[in-house]
Amino acid sequence: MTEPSDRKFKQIGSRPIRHDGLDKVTGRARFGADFALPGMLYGVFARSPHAHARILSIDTSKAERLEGVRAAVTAADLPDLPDEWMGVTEGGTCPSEDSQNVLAREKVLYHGHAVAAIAATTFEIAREACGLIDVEYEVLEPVLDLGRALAPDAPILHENQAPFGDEPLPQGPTNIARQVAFEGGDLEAGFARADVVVEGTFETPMVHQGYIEPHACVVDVREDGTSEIWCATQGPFGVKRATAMIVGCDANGIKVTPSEIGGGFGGKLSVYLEPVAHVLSRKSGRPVKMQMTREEVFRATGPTSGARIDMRVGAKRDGTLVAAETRMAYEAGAFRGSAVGAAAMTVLTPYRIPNFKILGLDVVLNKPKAAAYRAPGAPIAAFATESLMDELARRLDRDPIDLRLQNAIEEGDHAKYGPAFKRIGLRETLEAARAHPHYRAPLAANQGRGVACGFWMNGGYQSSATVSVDEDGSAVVRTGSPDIGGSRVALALMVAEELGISVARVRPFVGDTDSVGYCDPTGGSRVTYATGMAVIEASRQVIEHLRARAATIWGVGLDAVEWQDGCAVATKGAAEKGSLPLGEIAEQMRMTGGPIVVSASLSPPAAGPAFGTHLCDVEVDPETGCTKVLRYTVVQDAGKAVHPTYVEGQFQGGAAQGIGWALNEEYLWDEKGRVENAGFLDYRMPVASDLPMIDTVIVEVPNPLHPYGVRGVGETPIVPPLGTVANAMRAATGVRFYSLPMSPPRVLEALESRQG
Amino acid sequence: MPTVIFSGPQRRLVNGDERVEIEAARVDELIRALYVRYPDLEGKLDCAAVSIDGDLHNAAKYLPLAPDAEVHFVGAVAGGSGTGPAESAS
Amino acid sequence: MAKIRVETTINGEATEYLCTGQQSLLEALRDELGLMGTKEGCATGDCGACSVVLDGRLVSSCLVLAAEAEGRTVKTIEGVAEGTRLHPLQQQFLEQGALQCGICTPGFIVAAQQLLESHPDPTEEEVRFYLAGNLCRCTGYDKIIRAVLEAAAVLREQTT
Repeated sequence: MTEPSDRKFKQIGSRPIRHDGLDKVTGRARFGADFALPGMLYGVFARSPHAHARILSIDTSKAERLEGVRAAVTAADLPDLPDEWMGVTEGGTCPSEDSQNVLAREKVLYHGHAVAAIAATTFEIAREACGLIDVEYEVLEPVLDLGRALAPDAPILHENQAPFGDEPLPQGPTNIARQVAFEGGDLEAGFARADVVVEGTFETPMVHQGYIEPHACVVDVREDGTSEIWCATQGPFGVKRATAMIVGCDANGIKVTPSEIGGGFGGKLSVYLEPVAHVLSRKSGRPVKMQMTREEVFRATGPTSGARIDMRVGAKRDGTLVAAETRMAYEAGAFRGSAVGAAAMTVLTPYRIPNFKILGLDVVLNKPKAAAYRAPGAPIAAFATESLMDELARRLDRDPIDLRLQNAIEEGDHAKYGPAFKRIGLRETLEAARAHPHYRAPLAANQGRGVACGFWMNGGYQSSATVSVDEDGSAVVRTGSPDIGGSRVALALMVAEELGISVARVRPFVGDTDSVGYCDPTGGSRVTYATGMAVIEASRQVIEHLRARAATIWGVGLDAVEWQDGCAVATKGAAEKGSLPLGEIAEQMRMTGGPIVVSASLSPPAAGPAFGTHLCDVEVDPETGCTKVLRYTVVQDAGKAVHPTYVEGQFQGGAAQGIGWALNEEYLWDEKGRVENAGFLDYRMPVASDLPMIDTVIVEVPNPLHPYGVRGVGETPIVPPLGTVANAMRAATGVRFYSLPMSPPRVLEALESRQG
Repeated sequence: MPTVIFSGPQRRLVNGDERVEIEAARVDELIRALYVRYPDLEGKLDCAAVSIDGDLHNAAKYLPLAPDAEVHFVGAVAGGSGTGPAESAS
Repeated sequence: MAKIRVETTINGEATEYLCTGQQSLLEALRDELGLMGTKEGCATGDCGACSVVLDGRLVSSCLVLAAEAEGRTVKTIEGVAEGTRLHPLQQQFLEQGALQCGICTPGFIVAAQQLLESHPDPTEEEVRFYLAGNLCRCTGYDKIIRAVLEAAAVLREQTT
C-alpha cells in the first residue's frame, strides 16, 4: 500500500472541526454515566479494608434482607477459570486472575479489592447494604514495596504460582511472576573498553492514569440470558469477551455499546464493573447501573507500576556508547502483568549500544493490579536512561543533544529486542530540537534546561471499517474504535481525502459490537494507523464501485473511467462524456446496482516506531523547593499528521501527564497498605496554573507501512518528560534526582543536603 | 533460506547459536523446523511476536517468508492490560 | 422518605423538582431533570467537571445540596448557547481543538464564561489561575487557554 511520500494531500493535514465536537461543547454528548434504563437498579461494591488478608467467610444475608436490595454477588457466583497464563502475544492474561481482580476469592490482595456487590433500588440503599455484609478476614502482612517483595522471607502473594519467562528463573517461593531479558554483545568486554561509566538506581512510585470520568456501565440481562452492556471503554469487543469469560456465559449473547469515553490512557482497557453488573442484573431481572466513585477509581483501577531500575552505561571518551546494563523491577500490583516487557523493549532502544544486558522483573505485591497507562512501562525506563545520558554528557562536557545524535539509532540498526528498524525519525527530532529557539533561549538564576528522548513501538492489531455512500452523495464511516481524542475526525479526513468530498460530508460513527466489524481496542496508538488503513482500503474500494457506476451510466468500459477529485472522469476515447461528480453517481445508485457499502478489515504489523525529543526549562525556588515549569517543547515524529490540531493535543497532553508524574504525582500508602490520597485534592495532577503553553514541533518522517505515512502519536509524548524534567532540575539545582516525584519537600531536602 | 536471529536468552535454548538458516516458506513451518532442530525450544515460540524483515507481527503464524527473510522472535511484547489485547493507549 | 419540593430557575426557566435532603444539586440536575451535560468527576469539589453558576457565582454542583437551589437561579452548560447560536467560548473550543475526550469541557466552558463576564480582558495567567479548579487530563490545557483568550477577544469585539 506504500505510496510515494511526495503525494500531495488535499485534506490530510487540514484542521476541520471535529464531528463530535458540537455535542461536547453543549453538554449533549453521552458518557458512561449518562445512560439510564427504566426500572434500573444501582450496584455498589463492598471492598476490602485490608491490603492483604485471607477471606474466611462472606455473609451477605443481612444485606439482602434490607428493604430495597434486589441482589448480591460474591466470587461464589462466578465460575472457576483456568489459573494459567494464556500466552496471547499481546501480553497475555490469566482468566482466573482477571476474575479474582473483579471479585476476590480466597484472598484480598489490596486495599479496595472488591469482595462483593449489592444491587438495590437506589445507590444509597446499595451503599448501606454493603455495610451490612459480614466478611471475616485473617489479616496477613502486606507486601508494600519492591524491597520487601523480593526479600527471602517475604510473604508470598500467590503461593501456588511459579515464575515464567526468560531463564534462568528464580527457584522456590517468590513474588517474581515473570522475567524478561534481552542481551547482545559481550557486556564485560564492553565495559572494559569504557573510559567513563555512569550509574544509578532510579525509583518511581505508582501513579494513576487520572482520567476525569470514573468507570461506569449499565447492564441489562434479558430473560433468555442475552444481554446488552452500555459502558465507557476503550475496547467494546474486549468487554464482551471478558464479561462472557468471567461470568461464564456465551459471548454471542452479549452486545456492547460504547459510550463517549471520558479519558482512558490505557486504564479503560481493563474490565472491572461489567461482569459484576451482569450477574446482579441476571439475578434481579432488572437492568443494573454501576458507577465508581473517584475514591474507588484510585483504590481499585489503573494504576501504572512503581519501579526500581538499576542501570549503568559505559562510553568511550569520544562519547561513543559501548555498554549498558539494567535490571528493572516493576510493581505488577496484586496480579502479574506489569508493563516490564514493554519497558525492556524500550529502555535502551534509542541508542546504539553494542554490548548490553536488560533484565526485567514483574513483581507482585499488595497494591492494585497495574493496568496499561500510555506507553506502559516506557516513561520510567526512559527516566533512567535519559538521566544517565545527561550525566554522561556532563562528565564528557558534551552538548546533550550532540551526544545523543552521536549515538542515535537509524534505519537498519537493530532494536535491543531484535528486529532492524525501517525508516525512523529519532535523528530528525533531535536536530529539530537543537534548531528550536527554545534550545538557545537565555536562562536566569535557579533555572535550568533539560532534554530527553523517548521511544514507543506503537501497535497494529486488528481493525475493520465500513464506508457507505448515501444517495445525497455524503458518506458514513463506521468502525469499532472508540474515539478518545479526535480519531473520528481523522478517519473522516481519510474518507474525504480518498473520495474527494468535503470532510463535513463524511459522518464518522463508532458502533456497537453488533453493528460493526471486529476492532481490537483503542490503544497502542493504533487507531489512526490500523483502523485508518482499513478506512482507506474501504474508501478505495468505494471508488472502484463509483467508477463502475459511472461506466454504467455512460455505457463505456470501466477502463475508460478514472477517479479525480471527487468525480468520475471519462478518458480513452470516451472523453466527450466529461465528468460525473460523486453526488450525481450517488443519486443514480438505485439504477446502477443499489447502495454502495464496502467493508475492509486487516491485521497489520506493529505501527512503526515513533521517537520524540523534549525540551524543558524549570525554575526551582530554593526557599520552598517548589518547581515551576517555565517552558516546554515537544518534538515528535508523527510520520504524517492527519489532523495536526489533535496531534499537537496528544503531544501536549502526554507532556502534561509526564510533568505531573515527574513533579507531583504519587500514591501514598500507610504502613498497612491503605491508600491515603485517593482523591484529586491529595493526588496532585497538574492544573492549568501549573503549566506554561506547551510548544510543539511535528516532524514527519513517513512510516513505510502506512499509505499516508502515519505513525501512532498518542503514547510517545509521555515517554520523555520524566527524564526531561529531571535533567532540567539537575541543571537548575546541581542535584541529580534519582527518585520521583520531585515534589517540594523532596527538592528542599535535596537542596539542603547539597549545602550540608 | 530465511535466517532466524536469536536473542541472548533464547541462545541458551539453541546451543548458543546466534543465527540459523532454515528452509521454511511460512512462519508456522519455520517454528516446527526450529522445534525439531532445538528440542529445548519446544513450545517457547508459540506465543511470541514475530519480526519479519523489521516488521513486528502479532499474528504471524501463516505469514509467508521470503527466501532471504530475517526473522526474530520477540517474546516480550507486553502490556499492562489483562483483558484487552492492545498493549497501551493513547 | 419524604422528598423536598424545590422551585428554582434553571437556564432562565422556572423549574420544579423533588429531591432528598442528601441529594446534591449535581444529582438533581442529572437524575431528576436529565440535564446530563453537568458531569461528575469526583463528587468532592476537586475537579470542576460539575461546575454550574448559582446566583451568579461559580460553584461545584456536587458540593451544593439540591434543596439549596430553592428560589435561586442556576445556569448549566445547557444554558450557555443562546438558542441555536453557540457562545464564542463554545465556538473557540471547537476551532482551537480545546477538547479531546470532552468530559471536562462543559465545566471549563461554564467556568470560563463566568470569568469573562467579570474579566472581559484577562491575561493568560489570570485565565490559568481562574480555571485551576477545573481538571483536564487530555490536553495539557494549552488549547483550552488559547480558546478562552480568543473567545475573550471575540466577545470584546462584539461589545464594541
